Amino acid sequence: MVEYLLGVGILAAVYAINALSLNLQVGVTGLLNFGQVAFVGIGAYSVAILDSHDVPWIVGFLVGAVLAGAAGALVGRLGRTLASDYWAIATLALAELVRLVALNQDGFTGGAQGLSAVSGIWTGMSTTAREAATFATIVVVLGIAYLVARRVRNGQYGRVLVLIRENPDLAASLRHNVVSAKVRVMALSAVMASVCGGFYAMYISFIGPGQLLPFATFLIFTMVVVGGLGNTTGAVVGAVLITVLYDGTRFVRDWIDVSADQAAGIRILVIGVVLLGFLLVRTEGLVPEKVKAAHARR
Amino acid sequence: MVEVLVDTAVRGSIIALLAVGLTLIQGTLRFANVAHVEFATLGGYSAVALTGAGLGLLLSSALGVALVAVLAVVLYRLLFRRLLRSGPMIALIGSLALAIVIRATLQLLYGSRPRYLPTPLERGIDFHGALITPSQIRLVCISLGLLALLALVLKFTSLGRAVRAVAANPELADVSGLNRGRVVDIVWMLSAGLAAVSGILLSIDSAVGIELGFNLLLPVFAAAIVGGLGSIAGAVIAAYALACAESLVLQIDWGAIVGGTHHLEVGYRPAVGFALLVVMLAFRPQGLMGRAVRRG
Amino acid sequence: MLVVEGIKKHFAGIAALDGASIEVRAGESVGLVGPNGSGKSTALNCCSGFERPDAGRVLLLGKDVTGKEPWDVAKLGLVRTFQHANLPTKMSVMDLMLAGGHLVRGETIRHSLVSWKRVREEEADAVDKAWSILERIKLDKLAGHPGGKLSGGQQKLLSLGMALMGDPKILMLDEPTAGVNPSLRVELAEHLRKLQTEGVTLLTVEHDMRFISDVCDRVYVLDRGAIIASCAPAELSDHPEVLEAYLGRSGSRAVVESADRRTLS
Ligand SMILES: Nc1ncnc2c1ncn2[C@@H]1O[C@H](COP(=O)(O)OP(=O)(O)O)[C@@H](O)[C@H]1O
Ligand SMILES: [Mg+2]
Repeated sequence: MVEYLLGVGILAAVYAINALSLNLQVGVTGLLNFGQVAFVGIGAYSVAILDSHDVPWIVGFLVGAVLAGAAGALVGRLGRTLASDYWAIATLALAELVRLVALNQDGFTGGAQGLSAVSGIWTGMSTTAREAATFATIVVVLGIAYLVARRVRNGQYGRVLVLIRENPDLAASLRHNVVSAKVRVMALSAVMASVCGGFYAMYISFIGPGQLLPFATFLIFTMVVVGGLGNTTGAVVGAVLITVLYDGTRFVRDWIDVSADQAAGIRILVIGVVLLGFLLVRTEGLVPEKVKAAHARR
Repeated sequence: MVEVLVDTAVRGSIIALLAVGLTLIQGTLRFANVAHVEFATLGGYSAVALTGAGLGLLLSSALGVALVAVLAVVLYRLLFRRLLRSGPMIALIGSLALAIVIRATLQLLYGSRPRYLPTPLERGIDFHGALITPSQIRLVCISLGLLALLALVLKFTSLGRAVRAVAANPELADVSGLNRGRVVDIVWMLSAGLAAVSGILLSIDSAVGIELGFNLLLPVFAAAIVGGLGSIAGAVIAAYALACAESLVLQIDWGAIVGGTHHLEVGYRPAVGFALLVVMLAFRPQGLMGRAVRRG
Repeated sequence: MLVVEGIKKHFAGIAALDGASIEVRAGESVGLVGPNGSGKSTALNCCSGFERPDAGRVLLLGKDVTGKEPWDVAKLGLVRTFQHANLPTKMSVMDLMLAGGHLVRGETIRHSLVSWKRVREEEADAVDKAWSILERIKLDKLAGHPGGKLSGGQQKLLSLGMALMGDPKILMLDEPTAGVNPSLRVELAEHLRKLQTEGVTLLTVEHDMRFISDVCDRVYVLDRGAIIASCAPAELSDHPEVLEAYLGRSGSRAVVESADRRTLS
């Protein structure tokens, strides 16, 4: 039981990092990144590939972060000329390209089989202690990611990002470089997502193209919308709730008599209905974005 | 070479039927409907359900198309109108969510294994070295016929004029006494109906699976965007061009460039559409640019 | 200060600007008037980098800024407001004021993560400045309200306040009094005059002729994308072509009436 709870906790924390990253893009800046899973994949594959060559995991994280950051910056620049909906479609296409490469470059990525036996962290410990230590580590990383996201959101940079989301022309007229702001926020978010991917691959000790399906991005979107678009705390809340829900529905076959195929359908359906329901009934999410109070006079 | 031609005609037709619908919706509502391709999947499965109930293939197909068209209007009224009120971003996420819900529902009902429509076994025709089935010929003819019909309707009927008026200026149409709501309803029926036709044709040619629509999402968007959104003719031309490019890329011997003989792996076929989409979006965004918001 | 040489701009067949030339000298306050659709907003867009002119040049402080990015033009000291303020509902008045400010450190990711103290000092200074401007435009009581929920007139005032946060050298205002309470207009005119004495150059697009004559030293009249007159506000009525532009072909009745009342009386 403890191990199960720790497992869900680890997964929730990993997803929360991802949700913080997506919230910076979608919630704060209004950049509809449908290809978030590509950044996660870059991080995960970097860690897994380097691990299979016995390179220390920290190097894998660094390489993943650099690659993902560069990819994020490029995607952000692509956003320059595009209306937001086509940009969203373009990001989806890019993520599918990444998945196809992962699927077809067998020698490098293990192809459809993916890469398994990725060694985790705290390998020296016994099972339960190791889960606990892993959980603690990832919670610390999540804490750092949360602080970073919060500081960025609440400072001048966050103010500019929100203004870009709401009225980009106004932001540009006030000497804010809209392109650079988007490029930088994409790079930062991509780095966060790659860290999430690295931990994900290490925790389930596997990464394959099946993990890079668009549904993985969709799951994170659900977390961010349920938590409240634009609210940093909301992203974490949403991540925890949706992880519990999505993981819980693994046991759907214990409750009703359906085939494995149908059970998979039910799990996806539940997530889809939750997202659609929130969009229709409570668009602002559980923890809505706040209008900040005025600073006091000195 | 003939193979490329046949391939282009078949796949291009499927993409074109979907791309014109997407373009019509985009033109009238200024909104990219990610769930559009799911109407194709729904078309395929309605035909499966109706033939399963004992109806003939032709009747099932016609009823299936009608069902999907009606469902589209219901979804628009119940769902999309509400989503659109919360802004284009919410509408886009919402259409993605709807797509997932439709796919998951179908998986729940039919499982993820492909289904086949009861089509008579027909002998392929050898056409200068390429094998063509009669169903492929029908597919291309029906598609071209419908596309031509759509073009005529849009160009010469009062409905067509109304659609074009709404597309040209969504806000103004109300003022000039047009019933905008009616026009939008009809556009949804038309575009979802065409999508369903495309799905059924594809199901007859091969099979229908829950991923039928999703696998077409990016090529269809690529065609609609490359064609310059809102342009029916552009979307059709781009659809066939894209299909041709996909087919050619696999046929070409890249050895001339990289040395030796080197064909691209078939697994990369969808990548052509993605890559083309990204390249087009990056370098030739005319007609699809965040058109300078009026800064009056 | 600002020299516009024969700029042209076409939109899908119609010529919004057809070779207009404008010159604004440092410290001057210049008006730009003309019937609706004559290209005034387009002219501001071309000067501030929001639209790339098809032909002609824009020189700012001697530098060619034709086709430059809006933020690059703004960094040289040219700040413009928009005809429709469209302020966000998700940002408070104070937040918007700060967004108008020039907080170099807070705007980089690195500094906002590392040098907290310096970032906070910078922000505190900006907050002080924001309060004093908000008092001037009488929006200090609303500092915590969402900007987008203010009335149209208040939003226009706030846009001006946001522009002032960045200490512009030249300020271009697109119909600053539209929707603003008439009693506040007089005050707004005084503010602008005061800004002028503080060394800010002004270019104002406006329909209210009284406001123009209160604020501007000189007026350009734009008609169908071309400058048809340049004179002191009081001399406008001496120009028959100006009257014709307003009375003869103008589409909007309101403009005709206001031209009637103001220019002829
Ligand atoms: N982005 C645009 N796209 C198409 N036409 C435009 C655009 N902006 C302005 N116009 C047209 O250019 C002309 C001048 O507009 P504008 O500069 O807004 O006039 P004004 O501000 O003097 O009322 C008008 O006919 C208007 O319809
Ligand atoms: Mg104007």
